Amino acid sequence: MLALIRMDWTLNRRILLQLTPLFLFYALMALGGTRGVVGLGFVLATILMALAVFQNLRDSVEPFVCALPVSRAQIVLARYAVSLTGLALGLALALALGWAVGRLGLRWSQEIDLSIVRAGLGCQGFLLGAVLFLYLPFHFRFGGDRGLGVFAAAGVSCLLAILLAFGVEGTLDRTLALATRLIDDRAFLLGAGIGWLLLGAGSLALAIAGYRRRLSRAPLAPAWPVLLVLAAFAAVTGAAQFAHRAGLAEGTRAALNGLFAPHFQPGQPGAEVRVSRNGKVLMAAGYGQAAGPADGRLVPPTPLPIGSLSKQFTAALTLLLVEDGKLRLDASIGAYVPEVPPAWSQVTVAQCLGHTGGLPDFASAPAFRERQERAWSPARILTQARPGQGLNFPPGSQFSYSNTGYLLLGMALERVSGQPLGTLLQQRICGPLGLAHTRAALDLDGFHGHAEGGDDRLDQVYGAGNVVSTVADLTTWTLALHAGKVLKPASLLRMTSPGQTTDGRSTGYGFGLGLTLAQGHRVFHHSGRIQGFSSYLACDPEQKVVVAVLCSTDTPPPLPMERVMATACGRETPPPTAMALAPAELDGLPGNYEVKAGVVLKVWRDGGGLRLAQSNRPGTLILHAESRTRFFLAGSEQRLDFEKGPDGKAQAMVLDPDGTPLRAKRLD
Amino acid sequence: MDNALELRGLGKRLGAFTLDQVDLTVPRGTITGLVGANGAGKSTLLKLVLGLAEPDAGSIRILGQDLAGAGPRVRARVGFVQEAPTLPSQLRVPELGRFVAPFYPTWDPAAFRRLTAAFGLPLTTRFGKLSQGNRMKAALALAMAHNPELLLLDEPTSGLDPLARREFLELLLEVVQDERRAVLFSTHITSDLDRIADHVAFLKHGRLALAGPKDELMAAWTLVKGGEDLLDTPLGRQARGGRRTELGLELLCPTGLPVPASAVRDTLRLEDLVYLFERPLDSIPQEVPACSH
Repeated sequence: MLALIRMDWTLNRRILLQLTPLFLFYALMALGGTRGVVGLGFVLATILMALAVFQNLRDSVEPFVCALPVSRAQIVLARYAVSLTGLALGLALALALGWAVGRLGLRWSQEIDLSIVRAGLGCQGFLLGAVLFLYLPFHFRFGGDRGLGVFAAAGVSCLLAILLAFGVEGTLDRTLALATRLIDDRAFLLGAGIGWLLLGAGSLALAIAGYRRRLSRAPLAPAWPVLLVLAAFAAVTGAAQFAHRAGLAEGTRAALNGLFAPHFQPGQPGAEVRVSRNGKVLMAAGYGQAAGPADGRLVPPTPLPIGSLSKQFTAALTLLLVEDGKLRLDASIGAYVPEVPPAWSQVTVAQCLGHTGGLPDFASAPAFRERQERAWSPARILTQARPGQGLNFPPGSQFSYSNTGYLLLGMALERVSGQPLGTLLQQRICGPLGLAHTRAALDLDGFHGHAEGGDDRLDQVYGAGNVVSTVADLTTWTLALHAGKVLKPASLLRMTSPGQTTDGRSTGYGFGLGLTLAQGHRVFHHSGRIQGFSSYLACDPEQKVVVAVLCSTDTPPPLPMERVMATACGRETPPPTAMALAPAELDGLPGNYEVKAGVVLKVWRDGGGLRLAQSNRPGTLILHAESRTRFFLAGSEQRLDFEKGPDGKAQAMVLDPDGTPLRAKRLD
Repeated sequence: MDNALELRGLGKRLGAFTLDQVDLTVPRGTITGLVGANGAGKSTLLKLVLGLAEPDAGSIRILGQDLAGAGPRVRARVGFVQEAPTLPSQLRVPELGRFVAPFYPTWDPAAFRRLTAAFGLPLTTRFGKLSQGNRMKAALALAMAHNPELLLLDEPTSGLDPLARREFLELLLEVVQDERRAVLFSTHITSDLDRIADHVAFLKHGRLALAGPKDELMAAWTLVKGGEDLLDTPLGRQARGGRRTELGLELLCPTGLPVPASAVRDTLRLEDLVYLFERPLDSIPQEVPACSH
């Protein structure tokens, strides 16, 4: 027995040596993360197992081995032992690599989750072992070449029968369910393990009996049946993959649609949505008014105001001019816009970009929000719309979203370049990237047909919200930005790295881009809201997933953006968990909160919880508590904070507190 | 003198071919040649003895033990060379020795080195790159290095050039010199047997047609040449095979019967015996000269 096993090693070591580059290649792939490691285990285990099984096919040494003074049972046993060792070795190598990569803490390896790796490899060991047990009796009864042919024919027939019976999706679902059950259910695992061992024992007995009956002979030229089987296998798995992908794409599209559709009604303000991954559109749809005429005519893409998404264009333009040497990030904004109040002069360009300058936000100033005539000049905004001459906090010490910084940046860009902001945008970004529908707009007049309306002038807010675009253009733009097609690497790194306050806390915001980690993946996101319109753009540059949404209302429905992103990335997201609050703690919260003139959010007690309704929208939503002041809307992850006064009574509600916060003041 | 190999009523069916009721003994200290045309069953018989297939009927006793019962243990005392030996092609000769050694308790590394040196085998060439003759020699060195009591050789001389063949046959003679060991080798080249075989077994269509000590067999048969009238004599009626030539008849007859005056007795060679035995007179048209080696 031992001599037989040693013989396998003698026969295989050279092949193993030759396969080393292949193994290294797969090992490199494994650095990609958990899926890579699990895939590596599958490949390694399969190769090592197949080598062990077919080792004597290569030289047709079988008659020689059989003529040696060993029994058939010993030969069969040795083959089982070596094949299972190969299987175990492949899985162990993958596990060791996963562990080592995790230990090294390489950048790519963040995703490696050893418990998933172990479970995945365990399932593979189970599956590959079962295939081995099913195959080996054929191998020994019919010989390596014919056995493979017979087994493949039987296997492919079974696979086809299963696929026909359950469908591709059904089969995958069942397989996954089985795998999940193996991982989760100990008793089931024990039963399955015993079944597996029984299968192995039965297989061994069958193989020995079959081999006793067979005349040992040199196999037929082994190449063609093996090739045939591989081709058949490739064809079947390829077809299954294709069908699976198609099914998956349709499934993803339906899932994404399911996240948007319930929030819009025909004829009401709507949204254009585009979700893409790796350059492929997963879903592109219009909802509400944007769904187009009822007769299904295609409507040309409509550029809509994107509000604060303009800030990423402003940030990129600023960095382009920094690259040109016309601007300095660490220079004071007062150096470019001298008319700012003296206290503001210490705020740097970088602090304007990162909202850490402490500049009071003109957009939330009552004087600006309640102005009668919509068109205010920038100078008037700067003088009349600010709450005071000072800063809210020492520059750099805190993060506080402020449109004022981007207004100033827009002015600075125009002054140092000597060109209007719109021309600069066209020349430096839209032209080179071919963004045909993206431009700086002067006012909202042209968009009234598409929106709830508004008569704001856009040019007055400069870089804080002056751009109109389409979901397609926004997708192109964000991918080009992260692919380094707009900025030099150093500038891009600066733009996409979260800022830090002086006490070392991360602001979670780069330049014009919010940054969060979703299950280890960096996601850049921003939302925008401007008179009559709102927008949302998120990108996972690693997986090239982009979600772009343009709504024709500035009070958008609570769209579950995190879930949309996760769905597009193919991830599962656990819904936020609701905590139970004592009824007394809800006491100060019910009331009416005004988002803007005429749009009121009503919050009231409903049994033990809270409900919310929007004055211009049908239906009510349940509010779940995440903490004492933070709530989220049922059916989406949209969050809102209550600002409580000293008496415990809420004074205001802040919508989308982590994105672009919108403060709704309590009436009464 | 006991027997190294005893086959009793051996039968095996393989597709259209049947090996039928073979009884054969190979005594120790002898070389037994197994002859027969291609497809006569020589390789099948050797496969059964090597345990590559199980017989359908009959028994095989090797070195006094039943093969089915003793199995691997008794096969450890047997050396074998298969037809066109297929050994791992990437291994060199010394590696082949290390590869096979663990299977034989009596393996003698020194003997293996001696044999490979005596055969002049290149030690650094992979088996796959060796010439046909050297492959055979390597296989033979592997078969003999554990000092086997029975050597089973399947067509060992095919593919060897005349010089190598002669060396090889001399070597077989050395093997059996101690009177303890035995050799069974199959060949379709009868001149190999002329030179060294003590015993001859002749397989024809899966049946053992003739078997016994070579000298006794040769003595038991006579080759008689004469005219057509020979067929009417008692000798002719006892003939067990023959052929028509331009000169008349050649008949294979049992020794001891009176030869008519019109006929002549000719020297019988083993090749003639194998060729003519049970051969119908007119099985091959006259114009075609009978081929032989």
